[in-house]
Amino acid sequence: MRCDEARRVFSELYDEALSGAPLVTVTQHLASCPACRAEWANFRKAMQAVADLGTAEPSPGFAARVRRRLEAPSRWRRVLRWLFLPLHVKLPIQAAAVLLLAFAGLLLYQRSPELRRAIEPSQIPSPSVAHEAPASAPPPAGGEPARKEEGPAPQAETPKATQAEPAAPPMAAVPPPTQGALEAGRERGAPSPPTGISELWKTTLPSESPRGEGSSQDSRVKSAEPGTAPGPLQQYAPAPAPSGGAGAPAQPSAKSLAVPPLAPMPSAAPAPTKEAQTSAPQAKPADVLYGTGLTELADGKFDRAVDSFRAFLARYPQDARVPDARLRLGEAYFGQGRYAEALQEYEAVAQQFPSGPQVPAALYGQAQARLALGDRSGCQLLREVADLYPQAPEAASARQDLAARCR
Amino acid sequence: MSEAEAPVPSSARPLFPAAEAAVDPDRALVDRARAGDAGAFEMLVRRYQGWVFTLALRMWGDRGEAEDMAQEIFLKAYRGLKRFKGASRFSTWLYAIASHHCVNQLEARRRRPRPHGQAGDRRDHAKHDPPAAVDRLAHQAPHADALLERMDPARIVQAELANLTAEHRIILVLRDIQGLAYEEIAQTLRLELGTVRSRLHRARMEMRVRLTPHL
Repeated sequence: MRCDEARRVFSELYDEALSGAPLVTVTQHLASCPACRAEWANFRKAMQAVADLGTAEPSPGFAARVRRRLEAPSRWRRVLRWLFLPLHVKLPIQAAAVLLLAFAGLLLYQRSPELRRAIEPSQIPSPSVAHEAPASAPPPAGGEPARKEEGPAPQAETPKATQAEPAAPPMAAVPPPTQGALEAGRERGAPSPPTGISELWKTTLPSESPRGEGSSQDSRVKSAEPGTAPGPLQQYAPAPAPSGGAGAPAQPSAKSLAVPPLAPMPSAAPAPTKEAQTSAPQAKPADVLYGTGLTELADGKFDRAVDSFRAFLARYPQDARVPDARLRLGEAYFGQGRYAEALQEYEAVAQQFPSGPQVPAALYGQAQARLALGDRSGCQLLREVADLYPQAPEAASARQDLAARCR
Repeated sequence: MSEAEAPVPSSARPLFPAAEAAVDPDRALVDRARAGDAGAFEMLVRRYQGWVFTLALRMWGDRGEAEDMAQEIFLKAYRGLKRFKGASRFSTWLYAIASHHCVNQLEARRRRPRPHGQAGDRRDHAKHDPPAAVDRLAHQAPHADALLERMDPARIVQAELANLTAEHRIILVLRDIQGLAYEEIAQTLRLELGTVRSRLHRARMEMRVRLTPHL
């Protein structure tokens, strides 16, 4: 047997696991080989040293400590206990908290049109669709031919006929697309408007695109069959209203209001902004000017918006968007804090276009302006908006304002 | 430890024949503990705490860590009692849990980065290069021994034991300190008997090389 072969079985030899011939062979080799004998002696000593380490006992109380850990509740169980025990105390509190949160969420949802729009984005008409809408006015419900948007109106055209034309988009129940632009303008750092104007914007802005014709108007055009379509205010009135501009419901607010003179227009209207020109290269000057005013209003640049709308009204007095432009002018004044001028514009809209779809917004604007001026008659106007135009978007705001400001 | 030899929970398959389990002296206590009797399990802890603690101490070398390790082993066993079908002795099942837990924890510690100069570097080399490890460590041993000169023999042996790989250390402890038979080691670690023999031989030869300068 060679030395390496002998050393390979040291482990088994140490464990007395060798027997027979292998045991005899390795024993003979160890007897005859001093090196392997010394190696074997060292091996045995080393193994004896390892064995001498012996066993050990843990510190006293080890088993009791293990038992305590066994019986201690786990972390998640402790959390559950902390959350729910005692049940008869914590469950009612938690249920009440959940109900309170749900109620608060519902209240917030109902009172915040922005939130509502964020949750239901599909109800918002796409601005791109609005941009694609034709700029020409739709045929009137009463069968009158559509007139051109710009240029001098025929001399024979009476104010009544103009009012009968559904030139401006109606106060649709669908939130107007410019709302988003207004909010975006505020987010971009535009100065926050005075108290009341933001609420007014939420409800009074008709659905219009910066180019003047909104998608809601489009939809109205599609549904407006000459002679059969209802008047633009019918959708808001509680009772069926006669079709056609001549048979439009009487405006209760207008009867007590003096006709305000249109504010003097600047002789030289500001040119459309470069931005507006680049964004609508194909647009007509009236469209550009009107769209510029809308953009400025949305951005909170009320001074410039006032200039733009006044210029629009001076240059295109026969444009179909005159009622809307005056409404916007009123809003821009309101944003400036010039409530008296705002009131004049709102009153003019309600008086000069009593059958127009802008009437609920104009009445609501009047109410806001009067209240801002400290005039409590605004409350009466709010009631009229709520009672006469229950389907108009302004009606809900009017009811909220009544509850909040007119008690 | 190779993948094929990697320890797995002993409950995966019976380690001992049913006849051996039939005479398990711990059976009654195990049944009570499995039914939720913490007192019965405490009795089992008292019965095996020395064995488990010794294994943990020899594997880790530190009493505090060994006691923590032993507690974790018993907690693990208690939580796994529902899976213990009684196909083997409780002691064998517990030894397997303890051995695998110690080896796994040592392997986990080895994989964690450690401060430079701590013991264990050589052990890592030995794990990755087992055939050459013994010879190389024979030359490296004096450096470590210089630090241990003033220690008592038991501490020297324990320190050298800590320089073995986990797979060599566990097999040496199970055989030469805990006194398990080859078959029991094979069943506890789920290794082939030949693997146990060869691995034990290598572990012993490595310890002989390490301890010879101190003998």
